[in-house]
Amino acid sequence: MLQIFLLAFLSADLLDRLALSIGNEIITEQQVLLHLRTAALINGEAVKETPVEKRRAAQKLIELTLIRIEMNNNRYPLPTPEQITTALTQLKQQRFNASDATFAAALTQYRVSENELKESLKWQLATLSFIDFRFRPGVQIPEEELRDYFQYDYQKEFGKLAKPTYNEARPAILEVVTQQRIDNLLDRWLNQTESSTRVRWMDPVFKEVKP
Amino acid sequence: MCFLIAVAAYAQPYDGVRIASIQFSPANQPIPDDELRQLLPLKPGSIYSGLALREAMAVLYRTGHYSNLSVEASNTDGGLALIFLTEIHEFTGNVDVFGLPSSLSKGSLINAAKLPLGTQFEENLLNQSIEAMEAGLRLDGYYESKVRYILSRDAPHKQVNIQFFIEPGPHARFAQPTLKGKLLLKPEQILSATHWRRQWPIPGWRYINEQRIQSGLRNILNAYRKRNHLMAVAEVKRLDYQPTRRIAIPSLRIEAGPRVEVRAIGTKLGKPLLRKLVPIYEEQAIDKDLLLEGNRKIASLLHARGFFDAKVSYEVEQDANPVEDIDPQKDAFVDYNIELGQRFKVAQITFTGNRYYDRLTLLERISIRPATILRYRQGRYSDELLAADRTTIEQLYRSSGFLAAKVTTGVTRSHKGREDLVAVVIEIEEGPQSFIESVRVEGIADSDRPIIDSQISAQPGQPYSIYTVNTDRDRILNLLYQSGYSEANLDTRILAGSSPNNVTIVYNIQGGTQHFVREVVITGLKDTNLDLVKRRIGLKDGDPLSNTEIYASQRRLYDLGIFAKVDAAQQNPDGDTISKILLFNLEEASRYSFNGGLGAEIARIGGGITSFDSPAGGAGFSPRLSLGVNRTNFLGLGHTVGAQTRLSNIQRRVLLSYLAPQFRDSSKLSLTTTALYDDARNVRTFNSKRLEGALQLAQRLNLANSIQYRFTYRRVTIDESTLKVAPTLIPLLAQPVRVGSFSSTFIQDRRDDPVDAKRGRYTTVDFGVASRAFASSANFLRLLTRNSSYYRLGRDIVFARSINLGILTPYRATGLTSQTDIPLPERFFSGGAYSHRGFPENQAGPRDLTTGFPIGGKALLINNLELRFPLLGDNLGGVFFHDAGNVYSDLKRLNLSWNQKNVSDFDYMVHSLGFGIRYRTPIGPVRIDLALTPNAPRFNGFEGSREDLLFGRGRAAQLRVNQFQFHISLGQAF
Repeated sequence: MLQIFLLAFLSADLLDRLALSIGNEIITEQQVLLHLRTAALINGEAVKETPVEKRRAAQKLIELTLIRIEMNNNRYPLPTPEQITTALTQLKQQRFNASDATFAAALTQYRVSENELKESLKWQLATLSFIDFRFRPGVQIPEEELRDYFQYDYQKEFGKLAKPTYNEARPAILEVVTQQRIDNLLDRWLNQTESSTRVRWMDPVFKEVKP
Repeated sequence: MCFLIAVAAYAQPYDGVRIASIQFSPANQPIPDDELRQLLPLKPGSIYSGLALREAMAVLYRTGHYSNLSVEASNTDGGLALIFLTEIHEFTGNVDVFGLPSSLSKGSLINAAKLPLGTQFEENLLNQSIEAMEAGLRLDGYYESKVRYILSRDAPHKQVNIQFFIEPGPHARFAQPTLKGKLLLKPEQILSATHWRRQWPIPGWRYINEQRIQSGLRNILNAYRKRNHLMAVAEVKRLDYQPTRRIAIPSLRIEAGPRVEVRAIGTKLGKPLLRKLVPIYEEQAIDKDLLLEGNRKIASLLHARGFFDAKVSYEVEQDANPVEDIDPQKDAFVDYNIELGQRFKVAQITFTGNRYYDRLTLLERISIRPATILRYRQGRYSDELLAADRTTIEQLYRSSGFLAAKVTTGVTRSHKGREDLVAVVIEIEEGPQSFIESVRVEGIADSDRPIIDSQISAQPGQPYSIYTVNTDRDRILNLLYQSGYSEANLDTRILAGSSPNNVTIVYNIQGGTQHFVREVVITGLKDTNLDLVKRRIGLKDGDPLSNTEIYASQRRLYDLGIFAKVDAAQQNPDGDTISKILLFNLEEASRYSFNGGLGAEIARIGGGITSFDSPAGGAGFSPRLSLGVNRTNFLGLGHTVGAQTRLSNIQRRVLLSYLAPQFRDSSKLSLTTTALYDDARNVRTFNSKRLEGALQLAQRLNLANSIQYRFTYRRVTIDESTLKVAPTLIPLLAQPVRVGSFSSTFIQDRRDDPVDAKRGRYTTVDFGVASRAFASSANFLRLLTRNSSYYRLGRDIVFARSINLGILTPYRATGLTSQTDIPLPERFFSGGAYSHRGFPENQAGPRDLTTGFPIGGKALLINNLELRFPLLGDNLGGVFFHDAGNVYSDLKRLNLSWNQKNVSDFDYMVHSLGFGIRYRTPIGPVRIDLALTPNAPRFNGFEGSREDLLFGRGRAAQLRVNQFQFHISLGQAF
């Protein structure tokens, strides 16, 4: 009986397994690996599938999942197929000089299908739109703070350019400071949401496999 | 190790390969196979993709039944064979605690464990539960307590029952507390306030418990508040337990804070009232907002008292100087400066422009009141009340479709030339009324439309009202919830109709998934018969999961009176599955309950026992003791066995009862068996001993109507030596009586409040047959009826009336005289606080012609009229009453005559007029009634003892029932 079981077990391939759960949602190990490969494809880097990288990717996926849950609960709009196609076209333009052949070769190299890449782009766009929609209205910057930034931080941020007048620089400063505030608000929201959501890590997925 | 690597290594992508089969391991899955395959987005025959697999895993995980998932595949001839390897969750079942000290609550300890019924169970989290329970025990003084647990598993239902065993260890006592901070009070004063040390009868420290700690702190704060330290703070920083001495030393931090004295200047307001009105006392803080709130409340009170122009402002003094910004660290005086102004009276409230609602209806809805003689001597008015009334009237109109209704108010001073009179005018612009043109329901199948339509009360042609729409919404959602659509939602849209002031209502229903009951699992029973519980749960396997029916089942189980707690929950409530296991976890109540009471009767129940003086009763006092014990859930059937005893100067009584509620599983039937021993002299004429057995079936026909069927057998003996009648009648009337009777009572109760009815009707008809066929020593029929009704006159006045008619008729009474055909104890005796208040208790009707003691009658007619009205505030009321009637010697002699023909005539109608006071309490009104009876009966009596009567001593006297009667009792007269 044991022999039959072992034979059956040995002949089967592991397709996927649970990596972690966030409330009622899950992330599988293949999702973690796909995230690493997709990120490497977009950034043009080599794929690193070490446990440390896997854990880092999983943490990123937890944040994305929390955002996705929030978007579903509050019926935030998702990007249209046209927006996704535009994003893909831009990516091809930037990374692959608009060459379909180079793009296809990269997909094969990174073991990412075009649909998987599109899915990844879809959620990137959705997340950016959610962050802007959710947090930008809550950001109020006093004029004084913009002036302080112009006086003390502008050179550090925009140092190579000749310093313009405050009025000329104001729109750019406003955007930078607003983005900083949005990032802070997002971080705080993610921390609060994660601490109130049960996250279970399946340790074997993130352990080093020793030869 | 190589084997492990081979297993962990991922396969080459199978995307695009056809799926041949899908298997689960273990084969026995927590979700029924057909539901599982229905849920899974991957099907045999479909094309495999990694994306679809991940979605399938997510769907499985969302069911809440799995703690871990992985998927393996192998190539077969037919395609890809998928195997889902699953680890299955368990769920929390019954949680019980054993070994708990009797002073502690089991429920609070179970709550501390935080193991809700039906939720996912993880054994590694039990340590947190144990820590929480031990922390709870420490708070109650059990510092060395230990908690361990035993699990028992219900494998088929994946349910884990948890039994916690407590070893409480020694119970610690308080010890001399250490005090830190700015105390101001002496340590012994603080200690005395805590009540942690017992002074009497044996001085010593009390045992620690959380309640005592909290009440000690409250008492300390009260001690400071009494001394005007309103912001005092007292807290227990820690309790240092000393195991060898089994004591815990409390370390208290106390900050007395500043002394704050609140004064009312300009008028007299008592300190308790100021404490109630100025929220700094309640909030234990002092700031501008709270002081301003005090301003507002004091002004509002004065306005309500008729000082409509009263002005209130506050001023704070610190270090003898007026200040704007209050320093909460310094002593302060807060002075409320009050300018009362003139006192007004609301002479008149006028409505103008109202066509749809009449004045009376509007007046009933608002809070301001015109002045009345007794209750609102100045009327009731304040700007706040008037503003609230404007909103109330506008809402009333809007509820009837007057969407643009507008209410304005005007207040006129010096009404009718008198400076102290105020008139209020409420102007109503009703505007156009909107009507419903059509009602549309979206989001349902045509087959369901008739059921949904039956719930909709909005109909074309009706006035449009948001309340109708909300009612429809609630009813439709309720129906959907009852049918298992627990996530149902309903959106309402109001669209303009084809003509102005017409609207179309659109109800859009999003039903979501319909859930069903997979199985009902009952846990927690120890003695109770399982079938008894099952029969009261109105849901069975496959039924739609209706929360309404779950609550109804809970109610039916609670109605049995044998469960302390009935928990109902879905197993795995957050799991995304169609069918759910429904859990009922029951905690049986203590089987024995004891009750005791001590009371007294003060009424005209006095008079000598051997002497024949005071046949109509003298003022008397009778202490009363009652004790009872009930054993519930007898034989696990939900039945109750009980014994009640009562002991007083005039009654000794033991009642044994056996109650089977919900008889034959019907919530409308109950069966009661009773055995009674009663030794009483509540009729002053004789002492009787009664042995009685009765079997009664009660049937509730509907909410208002019920019927009782009863067979009674009793034996009554009269103590000859106590019988206060003419000696010649003693042998006849002192005969022991056996009565076997079958009777039935119809009860119709349409009162709004049985304790203190304001409107409605109450009718009872009781008809009985006593027959020799039932081993009765006399044959007679008995009919006793009552009809009462209650009418509201205006807002606060109630007119109540009641009539009682009773008839006793002997049949086949050959050889018996009218004095013996109905045995003495079976006759009607009446009079007293709950019947005719012109008589003392049981003193109405015929009397013995020699001694003057009541001997009961064969007919009874009593009519009561009452006008109930408020006197002062909301709790004190008054009544004027008129009681008329009597107990008559025979039905044929029943008449309405005012006059008593002679001293041996008792067949006439006795009238009494009276006044009473009612004080409302949670258990019903306490009442005092004073009655004046102009035509109280006169009768022949005898002054002397029994021996005097037998031996011709003593003397006859002409007596009269006292024309003034008083009654002190609980509850309305009828």
